[in-house]
Amino acid sequence: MSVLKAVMAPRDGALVDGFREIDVYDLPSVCGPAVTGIYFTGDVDQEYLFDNRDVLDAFVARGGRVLINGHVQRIFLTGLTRWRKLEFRNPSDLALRRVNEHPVWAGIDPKALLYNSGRREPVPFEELERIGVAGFYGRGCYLDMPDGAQVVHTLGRTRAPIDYEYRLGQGRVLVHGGNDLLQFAGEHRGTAHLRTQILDWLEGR
Amino acid sequence: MSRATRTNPAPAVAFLHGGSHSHLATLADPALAPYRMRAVHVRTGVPEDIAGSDVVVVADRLRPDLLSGWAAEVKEALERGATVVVFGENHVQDWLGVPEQPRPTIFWWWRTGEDHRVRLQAPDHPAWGFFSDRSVIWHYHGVLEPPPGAVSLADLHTPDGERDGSILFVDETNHRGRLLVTTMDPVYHHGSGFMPGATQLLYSALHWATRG
Repeated sequence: MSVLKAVMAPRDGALVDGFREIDVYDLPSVCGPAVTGIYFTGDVDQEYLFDNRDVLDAFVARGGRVLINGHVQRIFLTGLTRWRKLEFRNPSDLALRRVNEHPVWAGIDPKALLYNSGRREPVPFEELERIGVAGFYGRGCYLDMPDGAQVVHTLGRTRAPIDYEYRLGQGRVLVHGGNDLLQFAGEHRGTAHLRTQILDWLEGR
Repeated sequence: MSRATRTNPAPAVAFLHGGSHSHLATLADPALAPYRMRAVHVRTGVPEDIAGSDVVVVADRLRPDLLSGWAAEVKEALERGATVVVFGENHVQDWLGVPEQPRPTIFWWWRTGEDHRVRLQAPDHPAWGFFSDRSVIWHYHGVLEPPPGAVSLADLHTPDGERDGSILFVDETNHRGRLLVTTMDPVYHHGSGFMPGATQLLYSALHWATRG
């Protein structure tokens, strides 16, 4: 059983940090029965995915799990809707609020995801409020979700949904409307376990 | 025929893209709709798609293995008199012959107050009628070495104050057409709703390409 990471670059299926990395253009030929889940990086060719939406729909319908990063602009899987940009002024407009627990984010403090800085060592939140740049995690939202969708995080005062999960057939779809989730797994944030929790979820555990 | 005497005054703009979210969001931007940009996919497009274009925009962050196949067409457009705009993260050394070296992106300078080290050049150049300071001072992904005759509009300096290279240049002398190359990636940042300066650069580059 394996978890694929579909990326926008030539790849040969090598295992990297638990993910079998594939070129997104090879997806139709490699998402067979041995694959439990697929992680899509946010920069993949959505026109190509849209042209191959039947492949992805069938994968999820039979029990596969997918994690979609980034901003959906083409409806390449049943139930997806288009991302909308937020009109934000300052970090408080982008502050994360957890509205439902989810195994992928178990034990992750939403505050640890808000800021990026130029430092690679742990930085106290109070200092990040002074020097950090907010918005990498998310600066937009998904307002039109399928029935039964469960929102994990919202942004700012408008409580704009950014992360949500829904069921499709026998499978599940997790949508993260910002920069790739794996970029937020790191020792310096105290979030190294985010990567293994993503893997676990994509393995169906 | 010169731009002024062409019977159809609206320039034909081709936008070479890769189907990523920021490319698609940019193509859907109402502010850019009047350009009636022809979306040409770097993987599925054919040379004829840009053959008649007055302006060819090479969106940033295209896959090198797909973009390299367009080198001849883009150069041909430049030599027949088109204006070509090449945005960043596109490995221009490999297919356009412009020496480029990567540089780390300092995205936090505006929060910490440190020097961004971008130095504007050639203040009297007509292109500055199109670009605001903010449109070229946000970040960069590398430095370029413009060919003789080209004009750097913005240089990056080293922390020691030495010139490192150009992050934006225009070449209006070495080809029949005009060439703009930058290591900034405004399509990504505009299309993904991140950084107002990137939006200014994208809009300004299209102004320059279609009116300059």
